[in-house]
Amino acid sequence: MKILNCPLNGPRNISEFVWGGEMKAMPDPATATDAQWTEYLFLEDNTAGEITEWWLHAPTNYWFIARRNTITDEILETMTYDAFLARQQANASGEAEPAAKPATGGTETGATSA
Amino acid sequence: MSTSSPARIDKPGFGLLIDRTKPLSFTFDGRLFNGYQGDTIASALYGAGQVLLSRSFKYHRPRGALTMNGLDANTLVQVADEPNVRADLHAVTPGLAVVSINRLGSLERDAFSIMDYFGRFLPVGFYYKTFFRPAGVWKYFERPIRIMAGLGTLDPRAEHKYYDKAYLFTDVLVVGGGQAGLEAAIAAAEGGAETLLIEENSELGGSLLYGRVGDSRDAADTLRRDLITRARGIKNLTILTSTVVSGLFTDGWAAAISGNRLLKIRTRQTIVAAGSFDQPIVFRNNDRPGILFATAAQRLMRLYGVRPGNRAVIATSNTFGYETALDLLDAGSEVAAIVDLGTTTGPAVEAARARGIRIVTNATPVDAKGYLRVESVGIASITAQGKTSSVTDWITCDCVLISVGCSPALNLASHAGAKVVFDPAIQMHRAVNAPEGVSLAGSAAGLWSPDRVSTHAKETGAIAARLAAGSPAGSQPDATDPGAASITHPYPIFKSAKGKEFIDFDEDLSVKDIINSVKDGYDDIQLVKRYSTAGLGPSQGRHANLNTIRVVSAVTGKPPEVIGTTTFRPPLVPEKFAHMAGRAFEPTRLTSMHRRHEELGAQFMTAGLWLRPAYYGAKDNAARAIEDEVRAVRNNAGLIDVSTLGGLDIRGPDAAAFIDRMYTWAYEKQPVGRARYTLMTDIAGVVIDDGVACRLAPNHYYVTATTSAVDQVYRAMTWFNVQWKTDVDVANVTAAYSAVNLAGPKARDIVQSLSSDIDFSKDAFPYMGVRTGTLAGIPVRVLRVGFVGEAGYEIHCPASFGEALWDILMTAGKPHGLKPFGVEAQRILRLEKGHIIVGQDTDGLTNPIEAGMEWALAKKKPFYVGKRSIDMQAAKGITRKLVGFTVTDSAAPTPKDCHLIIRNGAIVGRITSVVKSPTLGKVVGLAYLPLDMTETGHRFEIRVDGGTMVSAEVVPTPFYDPDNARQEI
Amino acid sequence: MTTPEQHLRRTPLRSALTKTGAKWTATPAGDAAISDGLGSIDAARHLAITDLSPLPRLGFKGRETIPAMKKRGIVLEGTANRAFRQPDGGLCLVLAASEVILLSPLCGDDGKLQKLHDDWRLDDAERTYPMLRRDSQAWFVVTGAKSPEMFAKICGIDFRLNKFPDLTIAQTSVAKISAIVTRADIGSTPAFHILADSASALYFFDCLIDAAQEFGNALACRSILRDLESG
Repeated sequence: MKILNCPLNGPRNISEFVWGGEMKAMPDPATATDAQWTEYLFLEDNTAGEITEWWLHAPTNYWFIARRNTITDEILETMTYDAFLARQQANASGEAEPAAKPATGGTETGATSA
Repeated sequence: MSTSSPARIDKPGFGLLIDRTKPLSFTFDGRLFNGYQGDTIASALYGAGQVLLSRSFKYHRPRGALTMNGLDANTLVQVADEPNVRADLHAVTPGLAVVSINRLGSLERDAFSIMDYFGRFLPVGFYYKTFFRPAGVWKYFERPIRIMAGLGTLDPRAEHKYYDKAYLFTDVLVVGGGQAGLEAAIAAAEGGAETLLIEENSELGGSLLYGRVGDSRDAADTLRRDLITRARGIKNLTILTSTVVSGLFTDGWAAAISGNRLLKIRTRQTIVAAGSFDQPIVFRNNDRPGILFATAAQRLMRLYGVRPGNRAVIATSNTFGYETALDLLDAGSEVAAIVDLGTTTGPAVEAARARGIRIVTNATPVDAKGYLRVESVGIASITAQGKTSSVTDWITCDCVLISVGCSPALNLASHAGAKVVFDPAIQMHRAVNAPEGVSLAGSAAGLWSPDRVSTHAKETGAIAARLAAGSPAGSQPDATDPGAASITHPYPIFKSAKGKEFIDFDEDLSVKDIINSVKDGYDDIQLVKRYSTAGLGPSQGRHANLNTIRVVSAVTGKPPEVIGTTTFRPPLVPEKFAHMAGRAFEPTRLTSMHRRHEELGAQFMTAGLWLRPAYYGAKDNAARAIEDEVRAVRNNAGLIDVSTLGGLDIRGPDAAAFIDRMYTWAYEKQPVGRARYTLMTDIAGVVIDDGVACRLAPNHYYVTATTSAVDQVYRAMTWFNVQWKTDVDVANVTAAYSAVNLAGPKARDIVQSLSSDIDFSKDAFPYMGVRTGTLAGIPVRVLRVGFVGEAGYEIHCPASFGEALWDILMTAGKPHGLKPFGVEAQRILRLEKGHIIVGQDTDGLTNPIEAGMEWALAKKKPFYVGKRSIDMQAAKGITRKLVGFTVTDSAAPTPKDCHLIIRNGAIVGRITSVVKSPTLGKVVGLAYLPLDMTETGHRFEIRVDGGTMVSAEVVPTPFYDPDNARQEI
Repeated sequence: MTTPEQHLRRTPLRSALTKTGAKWTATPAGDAAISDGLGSIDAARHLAITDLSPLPRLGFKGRETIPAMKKRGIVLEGTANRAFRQPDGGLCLVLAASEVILLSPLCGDDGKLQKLHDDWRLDDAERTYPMLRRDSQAWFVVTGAKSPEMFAKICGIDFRLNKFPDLTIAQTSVAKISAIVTRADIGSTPAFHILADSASALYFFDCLIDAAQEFGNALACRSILRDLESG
């Protein structure tokens, strides 16, 4: 049983998590061509190497981001979606990468279903 | 009861595990045998003179104990309903009934042993080459072959036993309780780590239990007692015996079996000190009962007080063989000769010589006589690698003890990801590149000299403790041991012209079989294994892999380090399905009203994890009961528990905007106090859920979802909102609310008879209205929705009030003819109204247009999930459509769900829902049809069970009350 | 003495507990019946299971939940998966920066949580929203020194007392259902509060009983826990 480090709940058996698919940006539905939209829906890169994925901690319904190496199946790091966005922005503006820090729940509801 | 047997040793220092004051008796193949408490089945039988234990898998050759440590397949027996019990591990208990396996008739006169003479007709690859032509021939051979080749018997009436699983958490896990394991565990624990030591046998000590240290049995025994005393004295060192670690995985995860429990161990550091496996000499008839490993003989003597024979021949290439000779003399047996494959030196050799034992150097056994037990062994001089002279001498004996080297137990390290490589310097494999958190100690790490083992294990344990605490490891221990080079003979394989020199005892494979595999073209070690089946048997190649590699090396001319090795895979030892299944956890969800349904005689059906009443009444009267429930709803009133319906509270300033994005219809302008149908599509435009959205306040929607989809809907909503960051809170309140649907012409009378702050009159609370308040003192959310097509109220309340709500409504409804109804009646009622059920009337590809739900698509909204895809499909045009139909011939058999629509012999559509409507007196249903068949009045053919064709006609929906007058009353 | 059916609110375990010999008393708030007459102090210190489902509890959820709770005088910090003892003996479980659960003290809270619920107004536009935790979740307490060993049979979290300190929370899967496990010792006795799906309460109760079998399989009740609290 592998361990996945949830930004909200810490290291847990991977059986507590649900894979949410590789992260990919949705093209603007208003301007995307049919071909672009179809590619977004049905075509996957199937990268052999490092990829960025959505994961869900099922008991808390908490969504977050993990980077994983598909060749070694190593989980390289996990972070909140906000931390991921901050890193993307920093990369875009050429700043140093902010380190992913543990979440305190973020802005989204990390709630157990009621 | 007398248990005196000539094979038992009544001397101090022998029989460590048995209690001679507690004799007991048991049966083997129906014959009575005596043993002692502490004996295993195999030791007791051997001690009583029964050396023959089983028949081999393929040739049905007689077999006896080989390792006395549960590592070989020879000792597999049946104990009551349990097959494949390892007789050398299983404790013998009074009255135990043990049966041998894999035989026809008695074990001594197994009729299948005729197979032994057909050996030359059963070459490697026999099955692949023989049974594939002519086609179909295998089915005639399979059954007799399976009967002959099976191991053990499954008893379908076997008593159910309780197995379970448990987690164990530790800083350092040490596998193996021999000298290395004990030293490492003590060092790790003394270094501050919580340490778990797991030993497969019932006693700690490993080879110290029976072997010698520096030629001295006393030294070994003293060292063992000292280590155990120290280990038991450390508070943070936990010791589990009779427990076997069967797999080691990533992230410090290990599986272990302890009796009926599977342990799931999470550790920071693992030290594998699992020892090593003895290797046989390959010579003709090397499998005869009485030919066993020297360590097995030592175990018999030291642990169980059993003499392996009266007159022994020892075949060895290391000092362990000589030490065993000394043990035999001490036990009172005669040693006919030590046959040394080389010229071993050392104190034990001198001691053996001093005690007058005949020593023959540079020689090996090459043949054995005797059938049910070895009677003599033929020895010859070694002339070159694998070559000998002809037999120089036949030595009479009743046991032959083998000690020509070992193969380290690298299985667990390999499971975890270590690479296994051959080290020519010690003629053994080593684990290299062990993953982080895994280290090895003792003979598993290639260390054999007790002082080297000790130093190395202590340092390994201390390092593991430091790493577990997050400290630097410090310098690595010296893993070399000059003594390791003289343990393992490089080529103890002597092919016989007459064959039957076994390389794999489980699979009855001889040297020729391996050579032929290579000759047939399977020259890679992985292919040799699969083609020849070497190493595939119950002992998983522990005693066969190394010699197989050596033979492949000799045939191909490539050195063993180039040949490589096959992959070790978990489990290390046989695991039972019961261990895997264990204590199964299968959650069941019950609504708050479940007790009442039981009391009313409900028959339950599953809906996801939930149990729901299908109908109320006896099973043999189901159709009638369901019909009565339908009529009650249509004529008076019915009450159904709909607590399993999903519920979501969407609260916050962006609630309406959020719902607009999630669902296909428009909600921004929906008035407070009104409900509106919801249809959800995924990003590809496929229908995935429906329900209603109730606007309880400008910033608060209560949305229902289908029972099976609500968890997915909730996940999807939260996933989108992580990204959209709209100002809402989404809460899954499914379990928080219980709900009933009270429906029928009398529904209003019933609710109005109860005290409430809600005005239930038609004008004040119209169809599709939503109200909150209290009903008979219970806080409620009430929805006027029409799934079943009658005036009705869906009443939701906090779940802990659910049973009280049910009780109150049932009491209030009694004068009005209220009946509870189940899911079956509800399915009929909704179908009469032509309402679809998502997942039944839609499939994994259905878009809303096909499902006839275009009216629920907001065309002007800029965005909702799925919109882009639905727009594309709309532009492209659809090919099928869901329509209502009725069967035109009232005498025809009623079609079933998923029956196919046939046109000109081709399948063109299928039924999704169909029922014989009690209300309408005819068969109505929904079906997907090609567009050119969907106009009202179009006739088509349905193929029903047995191939009969039934005529049907497209009709508009709803079938019942087409003007929807009844539900809006 | 009362019976569960004399109240509109009922615990999902009422028949299961009645079968084990439970007596019933009204909760301090008087709105439900709670099991009584089960167990002993010694058993509760070794290992015992108690159903507290009839006691009040209430959740709040939303991005401004922490400040909103502070404003209401709840003792808490914004650290996820930490529990905070309240002056009245109740507990505040911080599940995330956006979510808390308030548990009534064992002695009952005389309607305090109900008032928090009733006083909340959507119109206040405060980004915190009440959650009916009393209805959505059953509330069990496992007490005693053997608790971690029992949990190891049904949950993959390391609950050993030195690894899972007092007032720690794990939101995890227990016996294959989602559960919130909070260690909040009662007196000097280790105590693990479990909040889990009320619809699965009977199933979950069976799992607890089964796992507790080898440790004596004891049930306890609120009055025994109150004895632990004082002694």
